[in-house]
Amino acid sequence: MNAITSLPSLSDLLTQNPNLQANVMANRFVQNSEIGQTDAFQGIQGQNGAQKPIAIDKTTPTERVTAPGFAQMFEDFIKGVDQKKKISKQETQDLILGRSDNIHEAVVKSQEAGVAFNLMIEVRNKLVDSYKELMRMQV
Amino acid sequence: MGMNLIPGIESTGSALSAEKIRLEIIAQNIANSNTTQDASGKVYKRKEVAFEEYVKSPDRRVPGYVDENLYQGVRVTDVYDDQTPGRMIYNPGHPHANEDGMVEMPNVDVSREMIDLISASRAYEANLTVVKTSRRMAQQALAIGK
Repeated sequence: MNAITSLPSLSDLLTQNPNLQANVMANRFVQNSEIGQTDAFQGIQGQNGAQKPIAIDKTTPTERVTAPGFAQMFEDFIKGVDQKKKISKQETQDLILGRSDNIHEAVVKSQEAGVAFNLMIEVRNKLVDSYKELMRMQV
Repeated sequence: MGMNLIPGIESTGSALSAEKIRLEIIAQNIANSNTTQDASGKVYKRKEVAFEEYVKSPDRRVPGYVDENLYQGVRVTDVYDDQTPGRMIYNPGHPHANEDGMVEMPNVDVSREMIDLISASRAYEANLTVVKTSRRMAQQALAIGK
């Protein structure tokens, strides 16, 4: 029993490791996607801004996770998907406005964007699944 | 960005563009199969396209890209005139007739252009099939988790 109580709580772990903070992840996601323009997300951003400097320095360097982290990787991935979508949009626009006459280019780019988006959805589903799995864990 | 999710899409895309140009040139040839004077005042000469393998230049590469993603596509390097002489027809009343009353007709053979047309459209189709198949491969791979 004593051993269990001496373990750090989940919330401690979350505050000590910036990469594990759900809100920071959401914040980054919001900043880098177009959805971020909605008021609901801006509300979260605003609240979170004040909480950000959490006692990270209390941990010793050996305990801290210094790798770029999963959030950063996922953020880059989402940026990539978004980029593909933008290229596809641009190509279609050029085609419709007569600036380009490559039908296949526009269709291929839109297919590419579609596949990338599906991949993103699959990764998200997997993430949500693993979160749910963690939540089901017996304590 | 650096994501290359649909295999071979870059090469196939460039091939589609190239075949499209080839088709345009064939259309031009058929359209001008009776043109006895082109922009420079001479008889229309049948046009042909030359394709060249095209390797993506390193400066377009994204950091972290591995070499296998360096695609080799195709592009049109040249549109050149077929220099074989055209048929000479006696027609003294024609505005483009020479001193002997002969008119040089273009060296376009419509039946040959038709064969080229079939070949170009089949090549285009083949590349479209590649796109469809590779897209389906990517989609099927994504369906593994379902």
